[in-house]
Amino acid sequence: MNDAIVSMMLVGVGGGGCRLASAAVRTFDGELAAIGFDSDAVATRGIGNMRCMILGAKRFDGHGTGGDPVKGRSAAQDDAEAVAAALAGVRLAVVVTALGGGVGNGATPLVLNTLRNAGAHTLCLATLPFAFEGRERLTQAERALPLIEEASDGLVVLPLDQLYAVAGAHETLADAMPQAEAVFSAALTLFWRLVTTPGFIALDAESLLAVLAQGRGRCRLAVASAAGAARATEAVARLCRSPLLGKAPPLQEVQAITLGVLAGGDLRLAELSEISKHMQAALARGCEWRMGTVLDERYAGSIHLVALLFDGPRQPGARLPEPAAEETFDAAGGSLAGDLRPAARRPRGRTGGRLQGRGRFKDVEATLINGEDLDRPTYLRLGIVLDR
Amino acid sequence: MAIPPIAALEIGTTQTIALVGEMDDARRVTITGRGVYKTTGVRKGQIIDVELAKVGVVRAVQQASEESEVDVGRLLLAASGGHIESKVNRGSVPVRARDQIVSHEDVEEVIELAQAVNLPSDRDIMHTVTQSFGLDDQTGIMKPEGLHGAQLSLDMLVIHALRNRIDNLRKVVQSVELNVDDVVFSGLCAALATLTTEQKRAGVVVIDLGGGTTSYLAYADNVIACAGSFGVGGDHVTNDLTQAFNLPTARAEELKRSDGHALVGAATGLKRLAIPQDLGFQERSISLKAFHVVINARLAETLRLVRSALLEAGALSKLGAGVVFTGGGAAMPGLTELGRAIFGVPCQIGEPCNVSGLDAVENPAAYATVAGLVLYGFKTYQETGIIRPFKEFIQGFFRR
Repeated sequence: MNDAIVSMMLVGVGGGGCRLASAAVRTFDGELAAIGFDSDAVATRGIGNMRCMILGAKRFDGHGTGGDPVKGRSAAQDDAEAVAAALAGVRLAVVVTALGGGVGNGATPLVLNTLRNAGAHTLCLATLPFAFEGRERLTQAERALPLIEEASDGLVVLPLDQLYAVAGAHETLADAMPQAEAVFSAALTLFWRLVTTPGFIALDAESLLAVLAQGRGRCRLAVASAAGAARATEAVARLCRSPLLGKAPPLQEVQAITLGVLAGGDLRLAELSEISKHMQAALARGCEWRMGTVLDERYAGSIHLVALLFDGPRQPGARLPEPAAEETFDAAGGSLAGDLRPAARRPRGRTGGRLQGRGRFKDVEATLINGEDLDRPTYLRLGIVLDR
Repeated sequence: MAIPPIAALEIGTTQTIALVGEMDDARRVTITGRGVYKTTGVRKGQIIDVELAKVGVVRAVQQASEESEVDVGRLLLAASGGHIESKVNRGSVPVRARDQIVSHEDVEEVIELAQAVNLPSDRDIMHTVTQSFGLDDQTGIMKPEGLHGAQLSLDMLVIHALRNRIDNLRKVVQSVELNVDDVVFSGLCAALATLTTEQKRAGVVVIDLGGGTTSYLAYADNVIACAGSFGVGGDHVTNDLTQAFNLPTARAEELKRSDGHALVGAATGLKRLAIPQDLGFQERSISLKAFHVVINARLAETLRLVRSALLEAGALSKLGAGVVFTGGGAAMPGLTELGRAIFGVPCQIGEPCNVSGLDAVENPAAYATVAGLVLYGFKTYQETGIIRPFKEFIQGFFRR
C-alpha cells in the first residue's frame, strides 16, 4: 500500500475510529484502501480486515492511553515519520475518529496535518460520545473539534446518539454501539461507492476534491433510502428529516450540497428529476449544487440518497458548547473565539504577518522550520489545552 | 617547548563563559581559570546588541584571567545558531597511476574536490570533516593510499554558517581588544569534551541544549555523520511558560529551574505550584502538571527536530552509544527519560571528561562547549604548532 499511489483512503484514528473504519470496510464488500492508527495493540488485534499501525509502542508498550489526549498526541508524535510514510501518496482521505478518548482526541489533528503537509485533502468524520458516557467525556471530545476543524478541509460531527436514533433501536444498552456503527458504516459505504464508482452523472474523487479544496469547514452527512412507487419523493423527505442533520442550522442556510443517488438499473429519469426538484426546493436559491448517480444492481428496487451538506461559516461570537474560560486557546496565533471556521487550507503556524504569541522573540528573526514558526509556544501550535 | 595556556569563550544566550586551560607535560588539560557572567544583547545565539553583549565578555574573560593568572589577549570563540548547517559533499577522481594504485596525490586531489562545495554567497565554511573514502564500489575506507582501484571518492562533511553572524560574534570580542584565533562550531566542542573513543566507535549523538540554540553532532560508523544547530533552546521553554501562565520572564525562568520537569507524568493533576505576588502580577497557584505539559511539549519538539535530522542523515539507527546531552538545558529533570522515549536509545548527561578542573562546578554539562573549545585549541596546537583557523580536519582529529 505504501508504494502505490492511493488516490483515496479511509483512515481510522483511535480505538473507536479503527472500529468504525473496519465496519465500513466490511460493509463495503469491495476494494477499499484503509488504514488504522491506535496505541492499543490488543484492541487492534480484533480488526482483521485492514492494516492497523500501533502508535507510541516505545512509550506505551502497545497499551492504551487511558483516555488521555496528551498521551495520544505523544504516541502519534513518536511515530510521526511512520504515519507520514503510511499515508504517502494519498490525495483524498476520509479520516474517521471517535472523539472523547486519548488517541482519537490527541492523534487525529496530527494525522490530518500529516495529510495536509503531504498535499492531501481531507474529510474528517468525527463521532461524539453517547450522552450516557457522561458530560466530562463529551466536553473532552468537543475540545478537540477546533483543532480538527482547522486541520481538515471538511469536518462532519456525528453524535453517536444521533446515529443510534437513525437506527431506531430502543433495545438494550449493549445494542447501542453496534447499531450506531451499522448506521455509520452504511452511510460511509454509500458515500464511498458514490465517489469510487463511475456513474451516469459522475461524482468522482476529483469532484469531491474540488469541493473540499475550498476549505468548507463544518459539514453534515445524511443518508436516506426508500422503496416503492413514490420512492424518490419519500427518500428526499426522509433525508430532510434525518436525525443526522441535527436541529440546526436549517436546510435553508446550507451553502453547498453534494448529493449522491444510488439506485439499480430501474432508476427512471423522472425520478431523478423529482429528487432534484424536491431537494432544491428544500434548499436556498443560491445553494451550490452538485449531484452524482451510481447505478448498481445491489440497489435495485430502492433509492438511496447520501448528502454532504456544507454549512456557512459560524457567526462571529459563536463558540463551541461550554468551553471553560481557561480552556479556550489560540491554535493559530489569533483568537479562535470570534470565528471558529478556519481559512481554506491555511498553513498552520506560519507567521503570515501574525506575530502574536512570539513573546520575547517578537523582535528577532523567526525560527522557521518546515513552515512553522518555532518561536511561538509549542503548546499553542499543537493546540494543547491546559488545565491550569 | 611549553604549550601556552589557551583561553576559550562562549557568548551564550543566557550566560557568557570564559575558560582558561593549561596542558601539563603528560598532555593532560586542566581548567585553571573560569569566568561566568549573565549575557544580555544576545537572542538565539545571535548578537542583537554589541554594547550589551560585550559587557558579559569583559566580565567573564576578566574573571577567568584573574583566576588563572593568565593575561588573556587572544582566545577561541564558540558559535551556535540556527544558521549553522552541514551537508555531505562527495568528491570523485579517477586513480591516475597505470597500475591503479591510489597515490598520495590522488588522495589530496579528491580531498580538494570534496571540499569545493558550492555555497550561497552569504555563507562561509566553518569546518570540513572527512567522513570516509570509497574505491569503486567499496565504501567505508579510512586510508585508501596504496589500495587498488579505478575511481576514488570521498564524502566530506561541510559545516557552514552565515558570514555576518560569525562576523558579529567576532566583532563583540574584538571590540574589547581581544583577538579571535578561530570560531568553532559548539557541537564539535561539546563532542570533544564529553565523548570517549568507544562512544564514537559505537555511534553517538551529542545534543547541546543551550539557552537560545540546540546544536547536535552525531557519530555513526566512526565518522561524524551530521551536525547542525536550531534556533530553539531553553529560552523558548521559558517563553512558553511565560505565555501559558502569564508569568514575568524572570519568575518563569526561576520556576523552570526549581520545579520544571521534562515528563508530563512527573506530577499528579492535583498538585499546585504557588506563584507569589510579583510586580503587576497577582498571587495565585497553577497546576504543576500543566506546567510540565508546556515544558514537555517544547522539549519533545526540540528533540524531534534533532531526531528528524539524524533520520535524514541515516544516523538514527546507528546510535549504539545513545544520546549525550550537554548545555545548561541538560539540567532539566526527566530529560534523559524523554530522550529515551524519542530516540529509543539510552540517554545520559555528558560532563566534560577529557579535561579536569571542573569537578566542583554546578551543572558541569553547561561547560562542555567551552571545555571542548579549550581541548580543540590544544589539539590544533599539537597538530600545527599554532592556534590559527584550522578548517580542514583529516580523519582522525575528531575520532580519537
